[in-house]
Amino acid sequence: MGARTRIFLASTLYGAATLAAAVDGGHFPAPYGSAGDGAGGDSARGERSSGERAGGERAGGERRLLVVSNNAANPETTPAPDAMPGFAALRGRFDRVLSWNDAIRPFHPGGWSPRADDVPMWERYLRLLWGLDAPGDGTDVELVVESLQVEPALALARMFPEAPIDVYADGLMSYGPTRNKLDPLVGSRVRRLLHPELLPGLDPLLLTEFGVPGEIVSSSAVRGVLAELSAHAPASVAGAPSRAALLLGQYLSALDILTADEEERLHLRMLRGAAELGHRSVVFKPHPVAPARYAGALEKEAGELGVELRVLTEPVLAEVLYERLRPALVVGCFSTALLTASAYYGLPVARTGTELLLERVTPYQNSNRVPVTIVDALLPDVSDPAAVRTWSPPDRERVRAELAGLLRAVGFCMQPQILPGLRPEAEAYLTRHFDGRTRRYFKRRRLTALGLPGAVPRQLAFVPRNRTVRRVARRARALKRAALG
Amino acid sequence: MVKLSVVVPFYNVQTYAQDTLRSLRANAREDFEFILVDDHSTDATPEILQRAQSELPGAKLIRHEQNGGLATARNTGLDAANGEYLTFLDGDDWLAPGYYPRLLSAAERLGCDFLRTDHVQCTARARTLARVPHGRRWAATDPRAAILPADRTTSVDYAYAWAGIYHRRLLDRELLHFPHGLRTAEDRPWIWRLHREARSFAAVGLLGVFYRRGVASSLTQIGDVRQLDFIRAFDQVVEETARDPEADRLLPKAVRTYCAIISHHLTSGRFEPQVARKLKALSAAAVKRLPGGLLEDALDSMDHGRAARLRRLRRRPGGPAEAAA
Repeated sequence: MGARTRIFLASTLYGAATLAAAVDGGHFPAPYGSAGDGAGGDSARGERSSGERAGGERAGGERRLLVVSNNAANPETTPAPDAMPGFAALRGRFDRVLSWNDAIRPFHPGGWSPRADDVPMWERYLRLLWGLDAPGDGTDVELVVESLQVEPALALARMFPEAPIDVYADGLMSYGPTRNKLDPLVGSRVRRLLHPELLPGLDPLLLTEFGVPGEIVSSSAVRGVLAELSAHAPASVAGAPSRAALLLGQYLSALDILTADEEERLHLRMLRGAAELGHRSVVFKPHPVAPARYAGALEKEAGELGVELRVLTEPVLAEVLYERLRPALVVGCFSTALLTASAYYGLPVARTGTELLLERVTPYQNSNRVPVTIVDALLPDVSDPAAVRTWSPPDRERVRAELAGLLRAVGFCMQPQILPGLRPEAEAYLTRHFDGRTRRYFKRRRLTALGLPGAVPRQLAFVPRNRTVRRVARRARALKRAALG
Repeated sequence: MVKLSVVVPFYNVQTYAQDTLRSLRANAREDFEFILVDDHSTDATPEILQRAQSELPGAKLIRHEQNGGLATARNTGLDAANGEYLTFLDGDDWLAPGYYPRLLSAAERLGCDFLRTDHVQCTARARTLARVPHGRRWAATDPRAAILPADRTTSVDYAYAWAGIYHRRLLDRELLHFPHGLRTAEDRPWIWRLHREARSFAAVGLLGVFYRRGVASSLTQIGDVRQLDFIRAFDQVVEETARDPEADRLLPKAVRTYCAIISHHLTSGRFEPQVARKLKALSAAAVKRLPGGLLEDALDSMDHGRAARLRRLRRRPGGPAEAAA
C-alpha cells in the first residue's frame, strides 16, 4: 500500500485560510508509521494534540494536495484564489497546489460533474494527472471539501468514490440544513464537519441528517492564519484609512435575489447609516467576484454627505482589513464577515437590508435564508444609531436561548424532508415564540403546509385554495393598485 | 511590426465588456494590437472602453458616430489594422489566457491563408464544445474542397468570424471585409467567399474562445425584424456562388443550406406575429427565386417535415396581399 494522500479543495482564499487553520490546529495529524491509520482511526483522531502535527515534513508519507477551484462566473478572467495576495502565506501547509479548473478545462467548476458510469475512468484520470497511486485500497485518498452538496466538491467526492470525506465550513451556512438530499454514498462517507466558532453556543445543522459531528477549529488558529495573510495585503490596503467605517458589498444580483439597482440602493443605505452615525471616513469593499462596476452612485452620495469614500478595487479579505485597518464600524448585509468582525476582532457591526432579503430569499429553502436570519436576529440595523451604539455580541447563553431554537425551527421549515426529526422542536419553538418579532422568519403558507403553529387557522385553511376567494382578493388588490396609481 | 491585429466591436455590452477586456489583457503581447470599435453604444460601454485604452497594452479605440451594425464595425476595425495576421472577437465574449499566442503560432506553423478553431459555448456555468465541422485537423488543405458535400454540415456552416485567424494577404485580396449594412448573418456570405477564394486553410482545436449564449441583448435571441436580414445574406451567398466557375458543384450546397435556415426560422416560434408574417412572405419569395431544379434536388434530400414546409411556402401565391389559395 502506498502513501496516503489528503486532498483539500478550496474555492476561495478564505476557504484555504480555514483549511490552513485546521491544519495548524492539529485536525489533520500525520499518521503514525505508515498508512494503517485509515481503518480504525476514529477514536484516535480526537486524542492527538496539535503538538504532534508535522511541520515541514509530513510523517508516514502523507501528502497534502491543495486543489484550488476558481468558481467565478468567468474563471478565465478572474484571478484564482491561489493568485490572490496572501496565498503565499498559506502555501507552506501543502505539498502541492493544483488547479481544478485545469483538470476539467474548458468546463466550469460550477457546471460540470462526471456521469455516474464514467467515474472509474475519471478516478484513473485524476490519479494519473496528480501522480497518485493506482486505486487499490481506495481509502488511500482522503478528501477535505467545503459545500459538499454542490459542484465542484460533489464532483470530486464522486470521482473518488471510496475516499473518506471531511467537510469544512467557513461561513454561517453551516448553521442551516443541507440544501438538498445528498447521495447517501457521498453523505455517509462524511466523518466530521470542521467549522470555526462564529457563534459560541450554536451547533451546526449541516449534514446532521448523516449524523456528522461538528468539530470546532479554534478561533486562535483561525486568527493566527488571518494575521499571516494580512501581512500580504495589496498595496491599496496600506493606503486606506484606518478607524473608518467599512462597508461590505455583496453580490446578490448575481443570485437574482436583488436587482442591480436594489443592490446599489442597499450600498447607499449602508453609506447613509454610517454617515448618520457620525463617520466621516468610509471604506467600501465590493464583493470579490462582483463584476467590476462603477461605484459612481456611492461616490456621488458620499460627496453629498460630506463623507470621504475609499473604494477598494483590488480583491482583499474583509478579515485582512480588520487586521490592518481596525475599522470603527463594519456594515454589511448578511456576510459571514460581519460575524468574524465581531467574534474574532471585537469590532462594532451593523446590518442593513435583511428585512427585504427575508422576503426575497426564495424559495423558502434557499440556503441564504440561514445567514440572513442569523444576522437579522442578532445584529443592529445601521439606520438605528442607538441600537448600533449600545450593541454587544451575544454570549453563549443568549445564543442558546434566542437563536438555537429559532434556527432549528427555520431549518426544519426549510428542509422538513431532510430533517424530519426536528418537527417536535419546531412545534415547541413556534408555540412559545411565534409572535410579531419572529413572524418575519417564517412564511404563513409554509407553516400551513407543514401544519405547524402559526399556520392559517383551520377554519380558514380553505382560503388560499378557494377560487372565489382568490379571485375576489386579486380584484381587490387590482382596485387598490388602480386607486393608488 | 504588428504581428496580430484583433478587431473587437462593442455595442451596449456594459455588463460584459470588462470580462472581454480583461481576457484581452491576459492575451496581450508587445506585437499584438487590439482595435476596439465602439459602435455608438448608448450605455456605459464607451467609458469602460475609454478606461481600458490606457490599461490594455496595444489598444486602439475607434468610435462610430452612428450605430452601423456588427459587419460595419468589423470593417472599420479591419481598415485600421496593421497586423500580419488578423482575428476578431465580439465585445461580450472572452478568451482563455494565452490563447492568441497559441493561435498565432498555429497559424505560422501551418502557413495557410486562414485557420478555423473550435470554441466553447457558455450559458451561465453550463458549457458545451462547438467544433469546426471539418475532421482533418492541423493539415493545410484547399478550403474550396471543404464546402461540399451538400447534404453534410461542413466548414462553411460554421460561420463564426472570431473562430479563426486570417493572414493579411486575404485582406489585400479584399476577402476579409463584411457585407456592409447586413444586420444579421453577415458572416455567411463572408465565410462562403473565404472558402471559395482563399487558397489554403486548416482546422485546429485550441478551444480558447468562450462564446456567451443566452444574452438578452444578443441578436440571435431577439425575434425582431433585423433577423430577417438572413434572407439578404443568403441571397448574396447564392448570387456570388452562381458566378463561380464551379457553380454547378457548389450551388446545391448553398441552396440546401438556405432552405434549412428558412425552415429553422419558420419553426423557431420566437418572432412577433407581425415579423412572422413578414418572414413568411419574404421566405416564400426567396424560395421562388431559387433555381427550380436545384431547389427540387435540395427538397428531395431533406427530411419530410422540412421539405413539406418549404413546398407549402413555394405554393403560396406571389404578391404580399393575396387571398388564401
